[in-house]
Amino acid sequence: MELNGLDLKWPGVLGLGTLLGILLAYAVYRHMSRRQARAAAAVANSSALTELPEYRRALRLHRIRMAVLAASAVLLGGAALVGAARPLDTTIDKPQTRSRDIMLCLDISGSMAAYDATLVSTFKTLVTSFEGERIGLVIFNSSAATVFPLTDDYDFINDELDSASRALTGDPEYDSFFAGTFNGRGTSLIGDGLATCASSFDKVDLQRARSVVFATDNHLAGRPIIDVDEAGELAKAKGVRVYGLNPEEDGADDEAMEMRDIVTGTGGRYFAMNDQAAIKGIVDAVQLQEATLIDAASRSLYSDNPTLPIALAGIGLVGVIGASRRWAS
Amino acid sequence: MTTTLLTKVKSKLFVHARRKSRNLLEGEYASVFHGRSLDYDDLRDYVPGDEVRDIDWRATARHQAPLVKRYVATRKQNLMLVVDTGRGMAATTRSGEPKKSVAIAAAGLVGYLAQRHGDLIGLVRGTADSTVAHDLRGSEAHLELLLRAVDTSTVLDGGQSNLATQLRWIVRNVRRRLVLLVVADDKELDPALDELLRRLHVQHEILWITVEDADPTVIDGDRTAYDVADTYTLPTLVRLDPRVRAAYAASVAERVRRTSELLDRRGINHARLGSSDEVVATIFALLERQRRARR
Repeated sequence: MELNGLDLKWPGVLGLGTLLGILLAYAVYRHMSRRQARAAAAVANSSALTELPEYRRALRLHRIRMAVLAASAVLLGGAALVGAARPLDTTIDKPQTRSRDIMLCLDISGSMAAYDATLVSTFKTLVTSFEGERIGLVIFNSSAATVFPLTDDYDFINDELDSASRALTGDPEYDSFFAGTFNGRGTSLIGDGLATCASSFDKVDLQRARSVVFATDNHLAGRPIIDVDEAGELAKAKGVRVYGLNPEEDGADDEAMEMRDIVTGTGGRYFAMNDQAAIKGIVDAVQLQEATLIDAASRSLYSDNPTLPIALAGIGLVGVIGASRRWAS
Repeated sequence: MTTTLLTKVKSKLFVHARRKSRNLLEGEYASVFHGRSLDYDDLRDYVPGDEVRDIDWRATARHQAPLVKRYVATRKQNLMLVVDTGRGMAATTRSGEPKKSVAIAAAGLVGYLAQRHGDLIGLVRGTADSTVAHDLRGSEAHLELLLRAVDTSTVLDGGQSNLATQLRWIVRNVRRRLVLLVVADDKELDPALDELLRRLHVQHEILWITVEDADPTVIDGDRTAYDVADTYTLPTLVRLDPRVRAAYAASVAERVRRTSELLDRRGINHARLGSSDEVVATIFALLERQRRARR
């Protein structure tokens, strides 16, 4: 790590500290020299001492020691100053990973019963591909019910999806899972389901990337309040992209074509369930879309990073203590 | 009136005299530097240190105690104090005093004894590049003047020390016989100085006093020690290193041994002084040795 790679929170501390350090050193020097002048002993013929090899060796050692002491003191002082100026680590945080909302929207009508467990496991696979996105689950039949709202608690999401797959494979213990989905007129009211999903996003005034993964066969059986076209328009108006996931029981029939038109009309994409590329396609499409949408919202995060100054100050302190130890026997 | 330098010298002598008779020291000096005439003056009580051959045995036989003969008009000796007044002598000696205090105490004591004995006292002082000579005179005031001259001319920012300059001056300028009391800096005696001593010793009688330097390896750590020659400060931690101290002590012992060998070989009586408290005892011992050597 380079020192100049660090930002300082209070760079003024460096200048002030250096000034104080110089003043202090000068004061100590003045004091010492005055004391020396008072208590100096004049000796004659000291060359008899200074020419001794023992003296020269001791002097050399002394100079090395003093050099180490000075360097260590400067290192210690400098590192302490830099530490006092609070070095910061700047990370450019791109919060787009946290600005995506994905609503999983599952048709649990009778026509879909054979595929729902597979779709839930597809959702689970899908969820593992995301990180940081908020994910919610809405199921619908004759009426729509929110299983869990948008959340980024992935443990919770996985638990809920596990419960969903248990319920959808017919575990009687999980009957309550379907509560609230039979309140409408008829079954499999696709438009109502999509409209509910498109309306389930919170923080509508924030510009966030919103996607619906819409798993249905688009086989309508009843009278919805809102038909699929209108729901598609609503999604488009809310800026929600709908990704269609169709089991295509009967191949690319009219309903499938209609659904394709609607989802592509919102800016999303359409996939047949047995399409191997479906999951990857959805993930890529979601991530690509969001990246272009919220690139501008990146911001800098500052965190204290005192490791280097503290380490250097430690080395300096060791040097100061080591060098200032008096003549150890 | 401020205490004169000679008063200090005398007071040292009187303090010492409590243990040893002051007469003893005077007798010591007299028997070293006596000049006998044949004119008998009177008798006085014997004091230890007097020459045995001066005892008047007949008078002693009639008297209870030994008596010695005194002669009138004893030939006056000429005592020349040769004092190094270079900046080296303004430095510290072993006791912590300036070396010049010890030099003044030693020169003052011998000068005082000489003056009491009726001898003439002169002074040759100087640094490496200048020499000042003072006349030979016999008064106490003159001695005080000489001591003051030594005191005021020995300063830390004076010239460097080199006693060879003064000794060479004496070789060139002095014709008559002198008693030389040399007060020297604590230095290695080089061959040039040895040659000067050889020539001087033929003509004069020499007493050599070395004023010791302070040992920089035992000066307290809370004081700095610097060399007067070049004001180089000895790093305190370095000079207090026990190994440096041991090596320095060995080298000093070796130098002292070499110096005394050299002076012994030239037949010059010498002593080392590191404190003005030692002056009386050391000078006494020096005179004692001188007396024995002359027999």
